[in-house]
Amino acid sequence: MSSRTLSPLARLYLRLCLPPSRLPEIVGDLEEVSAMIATHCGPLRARLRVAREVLLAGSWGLRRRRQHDSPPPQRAPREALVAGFIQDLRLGFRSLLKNPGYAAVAILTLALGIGANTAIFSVIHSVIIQPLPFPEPERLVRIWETKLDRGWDTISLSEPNFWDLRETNSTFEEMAVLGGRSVNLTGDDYPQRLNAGFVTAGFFRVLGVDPLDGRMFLPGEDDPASENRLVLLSHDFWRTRLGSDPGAVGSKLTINGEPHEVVGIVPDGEPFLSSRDIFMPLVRDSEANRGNHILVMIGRLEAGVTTAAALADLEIVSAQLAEQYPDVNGGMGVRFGPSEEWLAGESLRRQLWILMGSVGFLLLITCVNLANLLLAKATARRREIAINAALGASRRRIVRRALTESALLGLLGAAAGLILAFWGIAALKAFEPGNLPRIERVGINGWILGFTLIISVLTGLAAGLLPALQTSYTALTSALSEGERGVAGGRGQKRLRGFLVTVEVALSLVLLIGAGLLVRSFAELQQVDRGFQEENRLTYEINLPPSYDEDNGVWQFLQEYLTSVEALPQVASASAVSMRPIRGGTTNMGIVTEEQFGDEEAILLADWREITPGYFETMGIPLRRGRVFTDQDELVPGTGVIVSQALAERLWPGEDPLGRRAILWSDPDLVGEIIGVVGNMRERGLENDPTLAVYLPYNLSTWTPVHLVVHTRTEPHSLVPELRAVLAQVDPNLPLSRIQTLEELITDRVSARRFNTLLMSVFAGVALLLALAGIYGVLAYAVSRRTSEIGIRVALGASPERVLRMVIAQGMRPALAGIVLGLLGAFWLARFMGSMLYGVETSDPLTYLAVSLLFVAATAVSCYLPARRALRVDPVTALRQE
Amino acid sequence: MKGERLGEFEEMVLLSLSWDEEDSNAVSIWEVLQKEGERAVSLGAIYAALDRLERKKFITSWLGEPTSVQGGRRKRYYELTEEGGSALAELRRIREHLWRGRESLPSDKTT
Repeated sequence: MSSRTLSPLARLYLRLCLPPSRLPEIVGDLEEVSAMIATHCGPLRARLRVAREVLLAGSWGLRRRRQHDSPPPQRAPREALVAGFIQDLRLGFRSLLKNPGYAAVAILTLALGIGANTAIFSVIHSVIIQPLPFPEPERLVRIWETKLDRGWDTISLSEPNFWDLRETNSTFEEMAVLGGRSVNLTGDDYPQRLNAGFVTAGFFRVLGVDPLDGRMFLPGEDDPASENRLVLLSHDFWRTRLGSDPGAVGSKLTINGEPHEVVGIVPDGEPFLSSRDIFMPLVRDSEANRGNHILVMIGRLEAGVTTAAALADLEIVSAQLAEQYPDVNGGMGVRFGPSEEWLAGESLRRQLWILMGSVGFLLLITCVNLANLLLAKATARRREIAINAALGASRRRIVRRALTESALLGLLGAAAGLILAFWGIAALKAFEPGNLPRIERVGINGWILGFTLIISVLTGLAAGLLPALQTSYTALTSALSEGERGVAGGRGQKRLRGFLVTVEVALSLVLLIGAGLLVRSFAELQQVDRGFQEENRLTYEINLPPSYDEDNGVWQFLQEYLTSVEALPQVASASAVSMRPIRGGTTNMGIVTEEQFGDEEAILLADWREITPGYFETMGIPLRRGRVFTDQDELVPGTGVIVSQALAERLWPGEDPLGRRAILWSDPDLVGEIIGVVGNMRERGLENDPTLAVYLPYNLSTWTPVHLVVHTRTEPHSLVPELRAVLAQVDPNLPLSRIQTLEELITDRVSARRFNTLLMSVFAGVALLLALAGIYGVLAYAVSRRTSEIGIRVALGASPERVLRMVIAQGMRPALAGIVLGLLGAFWLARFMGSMLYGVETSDPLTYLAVSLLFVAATAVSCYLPARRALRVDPVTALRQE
Repeated sequence: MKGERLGEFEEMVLLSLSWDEEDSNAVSIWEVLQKEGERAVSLGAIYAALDRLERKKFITSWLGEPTSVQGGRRKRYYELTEEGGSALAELRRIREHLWRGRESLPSDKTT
């Protein structure tokens, strides 16, 4: 029995070299001989001898094939096609081995384009294409409330509206809501803040999710009459905080000072399932405020019910509620958000597709570069091609062989591209700003491999098609008699090269303009006036349990804690606010002047914040008019309120707002008197307009968690242990969490934008390098082929400068055409980027001009350098090159 | 036979055929040349020589039947033809004739 002693590499080599009919017998002979050698020599010597045998046998095989390749016997057309294809593959592979430099450049170029596309597609596949981890996701919808006369179409649900919609609809199998709050977990060494999701009992039934252990909430467990001190653990919490304890279900956790029974463990998944540490029942509150819209509502349609029918049904209910409660529900409707958008909303999808478009452009540029390389190679081989044609090879055969070689390049580029994509995906995961869902699942799987295979073959074919068609036209006589006269491969090839340069310039220009707009936009955002001081400001959160709701407990706590913090020598000032600065999200309040109450159109939507007296000083927000709060200001009807300058100008344009009165929350019983006006702050984010803000005193408020802002005299993070120590002295059961400086908050806020800008810039940079390399290669080649022509002109008396100008002008023509096309293309495509820009128009002239000039300069240099080299050649020598 | 000469290596390959009275293949020729011919040769060189000999019609070849001993693969066997035998015999006659004309070699003069 012969043993397989030859390595896979040796077998592959023999498969490529030997005539197919002799392959099995010769491989068998070599195995036999290898076994004999192994018994007579040491391992190293045996390996060397076997390698020599294999190489020499392969060498014989190649010689024999050259001598004995004769037309194959008549075969069935399909068999002939397959045999021809395999032969083309072999020849293509051999051709690449014979020209390693050219092959390396081509494969590397392709690897860049294919690798970038694979990496970005893997993200899109994970975020957008892969279905949600819920059964029948097409029956799932998110339900929003709307107030279209004000242009609001994504309003969360209020609890009373949810219960009414749930109880009166007839088209949903189940509906549920999710709210979020921080809770405190105590009982361990130190208290911990947990991110809790409060859900109605049917929430997981809507999603169709089963627990990993234990059970989900049962119907009725959100009823105040039943036992509600229950908790579900997220899989991540169970794994990381409880060490995957198998006895977790049935145990008790002390949450907000009360024991809660763990009833189950929720599996991982996005959205929702992995977004919280724990889940607790949202107990029905008959006193809940119908105007407080803070809940995420989802529903599962009854089987067979269309979304249109369900929407119509809910709209009827919504209209009934508007009639019943005109003050809060007047003018409100509903809208659905399909489950496909749950993970990635429209904005994120658009950004991802723009990124995909960018790498698509990059791939096209690599395609053009490859086409140029193939064209140059085909030009060098035109005699061989002409001889093949003369010996009977049909045009179809020549084209097929060329396309097979370029497809082979595509596949090799794909293999190298997958390696680049692997690293690229690792880098994406490491640096992504945290707004990409399911990022941990991004990787190379079967779908991604399939995508890579398809684009690599298509790229290879696309790049090879025009050169293959063009060179197959080369007739025997014209190719053989052409000599070295510098027409750079014929008029047809010259036109094709020019066309490729035009396309390459146009594509690169579009990509560069896109990146340039993003870069300028990001720079503008960095310059925006934030309205506050960020240096040496630390923020953190303290979640106060319900026990602090009584006897003005929150205010008492803040008084005591802030006094102790301000006593620290490293602290300049400290204060509290009800929402985290910059990233706190919106807390809507309808506000209208007392005089305009009743006029729907006059109601403005403002953000409201409860603050302690030192807030503006701590944040560095200037006081424009009036005064700030004192400890005596209380949150009662008729209270003094402070407004932002933008809001004051909207409510009382051109007038002094001090002493004026406004209706808060559209409730005539809640009136506030303006006691101060402060500078505008961009509460909703740096790229949004300055917020219309209302500031209220914290005194008598029960709002929690409280967010602290501390202005430090030293590096802010160094103060954290002391802040914790002070907190422990006030209440050792309270955790201190979400610690960040204002600078870090701002960085986080713009991180997504920075990430997109960085990615686009990287792609544009790579595209520019590829394009310049391609353009230089083509233009330098074309100019060098005109060496004899240049020599003749100079010999006949033309001045070198004139010849130089002529060559540069002619060489730049296709590039200039590309610039014009690219500008038009960029102008048309940039409008899709409008939502990603800040402070910059999609037609920003500065960006367009700068990029255009860059290309003009680059192409001029690409023509100038080889032209100058050609001018230096002695005309007689140039003519002798003929 | 007109115009067909045998090279030295071709002669050795032909002589190795049927050395041990069994059907010869490239591996057995390789073995014989290694051992009896005291010559390090490669299979590739042997294949080339066998090709030339077959073209000159000094040998014929055929593919044997697959057997389990060979791992199920078929081997190619070679056999001397009449023309090959005649060429070998002719070459031997010429050598012996040329040798007869020489009494000693320069390397024989040891004294």
